[in-house]
Amino acid sequence: MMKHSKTGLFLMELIIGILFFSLASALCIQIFVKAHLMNEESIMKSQAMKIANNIIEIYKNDDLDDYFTQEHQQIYFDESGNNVSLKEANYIAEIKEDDNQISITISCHDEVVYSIDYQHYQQRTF
Amino acid sequence: MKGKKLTMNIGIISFIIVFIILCLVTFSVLSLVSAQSNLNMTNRSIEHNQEYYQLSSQAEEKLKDIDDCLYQLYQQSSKENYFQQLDSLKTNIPNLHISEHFIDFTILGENQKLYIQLEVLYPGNQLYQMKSWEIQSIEEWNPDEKLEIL
Repeated sequence: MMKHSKTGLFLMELIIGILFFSLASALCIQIFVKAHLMNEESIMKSQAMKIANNIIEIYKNDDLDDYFTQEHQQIYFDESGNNVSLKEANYIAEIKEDDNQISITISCHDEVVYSIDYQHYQQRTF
Repeated sequence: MKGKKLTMNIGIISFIIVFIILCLVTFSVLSLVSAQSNLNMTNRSIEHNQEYYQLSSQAEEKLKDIDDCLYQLYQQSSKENYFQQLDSLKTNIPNLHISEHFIDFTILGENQKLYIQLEVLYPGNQLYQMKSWEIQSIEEWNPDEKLEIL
């Protein structure tokens, strides 16, 4: 009888333990997922900013025509910021050139992540 | 047996589960705090970067005005009095500082300022040469020593 009761208590403890563990892990997994999404967002934004900065610096040197082989409207980049084809692209840079102004919009997975405008005047030479 | 109270037996399983839950909660909160601070830093870096390019754009506009004015001056004046008439640029373009052959100006932003210095050349290949393009912080640097947890 005594032995029977101890096993019951052990089982009860085990069940309650598992219940608390599942509740806590459900909560913690949500927190982990949120942290992961935040990290993804900051990596995405940071990479998009680097890509936009590179394009602006190339534009400032008037090398945009020589540097990128694709049409100017859209340039494709992978997750490391390398210039790739559309199939391998993670980031799409949409570029609008208008006289002395350039507008760059970087999108990732069909979502606009970063956009910036820049004006540049080439110095008069003789 | 009848008089015996049914008490909760806190055994090894409870201890292990409490320990695991504590570990899980600690690591999840730490990862969330770290991700949050990463995101804040990225957002601040983006703001800083956008402000820099905004100031640069304004500076480029001003450089264009200077370029145009210098070109007009070059067409209107002789080599002897070209540099003497540099001060006339101030009437067309505000907030310029001109000393001898050098022109400098500052573009002010919210958190930073862009200082630019040019050396005016008597036109050979170009009208001026860039001497300084310097971004400076406006605010005094105060290290952020607090750590916000959630």
